[in-house]
Amino acid sequence: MVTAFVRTVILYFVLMLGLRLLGKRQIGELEPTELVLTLLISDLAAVPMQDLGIPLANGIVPIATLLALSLLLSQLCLKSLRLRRLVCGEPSVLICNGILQQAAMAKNRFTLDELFEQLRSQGICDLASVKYAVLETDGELSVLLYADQQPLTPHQLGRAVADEVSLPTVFINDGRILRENLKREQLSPVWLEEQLRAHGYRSAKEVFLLSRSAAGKILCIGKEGRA
Amino acid sequence: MKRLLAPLLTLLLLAALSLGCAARVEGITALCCSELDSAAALAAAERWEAGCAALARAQAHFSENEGFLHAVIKHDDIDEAAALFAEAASFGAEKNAAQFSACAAKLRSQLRLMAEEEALTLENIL
Repeated sequence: MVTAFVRTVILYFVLMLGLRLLGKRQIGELEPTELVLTLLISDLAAVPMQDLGIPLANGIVPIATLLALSLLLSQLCLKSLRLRRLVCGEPSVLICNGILQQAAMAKNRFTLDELFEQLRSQGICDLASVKYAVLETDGELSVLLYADQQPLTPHQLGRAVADEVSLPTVFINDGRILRENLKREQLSPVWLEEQLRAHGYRSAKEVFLLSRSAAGKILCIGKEGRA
Repeated sequence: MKRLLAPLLTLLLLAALSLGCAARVEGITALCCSELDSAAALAAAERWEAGCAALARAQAHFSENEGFLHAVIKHDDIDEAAALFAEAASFGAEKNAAQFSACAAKLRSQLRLMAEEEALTLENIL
């Protein structure tokens, strides 16, 4: 039993490290090769976890091999368009200028029912409002509506608006002070303490989140159940 | 090019490690089999002391490498081989030539099977 426990811990960290090395794409939407990899390595990890008579190396070596192959293939795909097309395929345009591309749908074995399902999941009920629909290589359908079906933007109205879109900088994350962020924003711990006092907190440990937007707006959320 | 090196080197390392393990298993089992052949021949010639000594050398060599073998080969196969060694030793102590010879033959087959399982052959791949 303890062997199963230790093997599970080891294999878990091996998988985590491997998926981490492969990057964010692996964890997000899966290309066909990535889907194969994820399915395979999860099965490979399960075998030595469950059958203690099989050496641990019989799980780790295939997993490491698959991860290395995947990394190699993805690097080669970066360099070669042809290989990328071969491995990942190409997106297919299913609706072009409002016209349903029936040949493309047949080629991708994509039925009308599936098309309507994907459109409905994106809040689109009227096929006539769709200018382009592209079936991506990971199976997602990207939909672009006609301009007159899309919400108006200030740019289209000829109105200028202040660009307040920014990424906030977090200074306290779940009670922990992120000193590198303070340093990057050229702010001192004294400034942080002033902000804490201004929001009624005595220390960073009482704060769940403290961040500042580019416009200087402070967001401070305390931890629940603090004294 | 640099980014290709890491996965390529990893693959080469894994391949080298696998081949190295296969070679080491082959070496261990070959030595054990050679001692077992000597033991069987000596037992057949009623030279029990020398025969049992040869068997003991084979068993010692197997035991010395048992840790490595456990990391590479299915544990059931290793346990089977260990049991056969013990069985052969008991037949040797009893000076039972027929059983000793049969047991040594089974043990040689088992050791060869262990080596074959690790070898890079078309049969194994298919």
